[in-house]
Amino acid sequence: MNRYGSPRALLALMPMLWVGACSPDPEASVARQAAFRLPVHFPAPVYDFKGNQPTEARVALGRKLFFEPELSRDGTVSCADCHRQYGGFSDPYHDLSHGVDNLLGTRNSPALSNLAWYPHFMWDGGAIHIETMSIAPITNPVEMDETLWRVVHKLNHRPDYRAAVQAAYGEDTLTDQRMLQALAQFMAVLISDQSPYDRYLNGKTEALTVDQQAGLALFRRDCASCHAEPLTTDFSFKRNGLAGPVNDEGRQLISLKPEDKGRFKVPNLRNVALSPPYMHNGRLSDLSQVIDHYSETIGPEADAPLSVGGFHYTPEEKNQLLEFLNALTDEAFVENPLFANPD
Amino acid sequence: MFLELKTTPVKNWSLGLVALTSLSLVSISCEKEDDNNTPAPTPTFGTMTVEFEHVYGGDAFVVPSATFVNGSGESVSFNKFNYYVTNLKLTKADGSVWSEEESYHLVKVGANASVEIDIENVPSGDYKAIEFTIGVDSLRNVSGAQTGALSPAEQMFWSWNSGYIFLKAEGQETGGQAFTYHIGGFRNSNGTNALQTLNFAFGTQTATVSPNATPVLHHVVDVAEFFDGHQALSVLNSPTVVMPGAMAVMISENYHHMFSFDHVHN
Ligand code: HEC
Ligand code: HEC
Repeated sequence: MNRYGSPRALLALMPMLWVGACSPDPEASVARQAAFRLPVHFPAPVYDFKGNQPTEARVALGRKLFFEPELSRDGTVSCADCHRQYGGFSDPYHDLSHGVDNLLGTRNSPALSNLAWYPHFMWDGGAIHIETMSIAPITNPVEMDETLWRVVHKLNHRPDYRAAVQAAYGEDTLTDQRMLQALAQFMAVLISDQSPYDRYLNGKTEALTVDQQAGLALFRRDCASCHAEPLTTDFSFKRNGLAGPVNDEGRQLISLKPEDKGRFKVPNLRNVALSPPYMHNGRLSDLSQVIDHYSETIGPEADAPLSVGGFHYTPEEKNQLLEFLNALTDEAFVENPLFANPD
Repeated sequence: MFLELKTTPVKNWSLGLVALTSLSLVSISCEKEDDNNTPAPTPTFGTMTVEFEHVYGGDAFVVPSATFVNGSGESVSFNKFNYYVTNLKLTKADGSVWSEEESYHLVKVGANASVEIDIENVPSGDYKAIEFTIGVDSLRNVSGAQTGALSPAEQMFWSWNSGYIFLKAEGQETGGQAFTYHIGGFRNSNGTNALQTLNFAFGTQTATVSPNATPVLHHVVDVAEFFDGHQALSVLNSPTVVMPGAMAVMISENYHHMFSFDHVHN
């Protein structure tokens, strides 16, 4: 727990973070407020909003930016094109991401949620702050291929941005810092904590079916040492024994340590049923294939506790695991109108 | 005449982390609360100018540059030469040290060989030494979206492997080989710390700051040392260094040697 910061830090943050209405009872507060909240069953967040105090107007500006195609060189690609709400903010259409001129990226666009709890971002953990995170897609030649200067310049010519920036910052000029901080605010409020699994954790045992509960037991036995509860990841870098060409060094690119070759950030599994395909390179197209992998095809390179050959699940167990992964779908999150395109 | 005192790759990562953690614990909403409330006999302030005169061997160095020959016998020219000068500290004759606040300056060499940085609000007094770092301390590398000289719009920031580019040198060798050196790295944990701190004493000279005296600390920056200050860097062998790592650290040791203190101009 202390990897997330001390409980005291959390207490200090509370008065600031609880912007707008928010109830300590997650049952009652089915995310209808685009404001930062601390779900009762979550640890303390990593992002402390230092110098970027959350306000509704800033979240609104961030949301506008997230859906803004002018963030790309030719005005064709927005963040939301690769991170679609109905896909849990992933790109359920493509295995590798598609950017401007339909250029192909090298990795699968991950689902986004609970980003204020991330100590690092990207499959290799190379981005280490939610505010500077957005620079990567904006400037990546195969994603949005734009510069921060030009985005800011373009948007400062738009009256709608002048007004949104005025509301958020009391001045009507967008700067790159304001843009990045507003995007961070929107990303930070993308909190997914209303799935049946969450309700179960908060005491509603009937939220999970009998099969899902059996699947949770298997998950706790075989998966949770990496996909740690309740965030479904411990953010460590691991090899999960997927065979295939190693043309992506993964964590080694950042750590420069040979032993990290082929290790990737353990992914967050919230809304996983909505965010195919799977793995950093999108190699597996559905969750049955993922479960078959953990059951039968784990390769020798895998990190503990994954054992060579896999866990050899019975068809019934496979179904239970699958049902459990479905219970990570948060309908309130993917349908929240406050997370949708504002225009 | 100059004297180089010491070389330390400063500020390790864990210190940065400790500082970061304690910052986030204590000063969450209040940016600055301790005003200077020491009752002193009406302190006065002035400006100190830090000048970097760029040369290549004996010639003036401007960007885009003329063609120069490096230690590997390669003819090279530059179309970009930018670097961060940060965390400036000035030492008085009595040994006390004054540190500039928010001390982040981006030097972009252009049509003028000399680049001047004005350090404002320096307490009046006699100064005998200067310290500064080429690069950006670990704390600022991990503190989110910055502004001013540290704005990522300056394109001195790596987004895919978060961190500042301390020095950016780009150009070509006359045979046509382009070179791209983006040097940075602030972590001790994986041996990629490329922060270079320089310390110069003014010898027999003194820089006297007062409300009506702005001394100039004249430094010479010999870009030839970029290739050969510590170990030979061959453009043809290593045309591209764009991430933290052993090569970046080696090049930072080279460019450490570019800087020398020349004289005080009172
Ligand atoms: C062309 C498709 C594309 C666009 C446009 C795009 N992304 Fe992404 N996003 C990706 C891919 C692919 C990754 C994974 C990259 C990697 O790991 O190297 C990613 C990763 C991320 C992550 C890290 C998630 C994690 O699990 O660590 C965040 C946060 C994110 N993107 C936010 C944004 C924002 C904000 C924007 C707009 C400024 C944006 N993305 C635009 C494809 C895209
Ligand atoms: C040793 C740590 C570890 C264990 C144990 C583990 N995983 Fe994973 N899991 C990972 C890593 C790492 C990835 C990403 C691998 C990649 O992209 O190449 C991953 C990817 C996944 C994905 C794909 C997610 C996405 O968005 O692409 C699913 C689903 C998944 N795991 C489910 C499970 C299940 C179910 C179990 C237990 C049967 C399990 N994992 C056990 C480390 C682990």
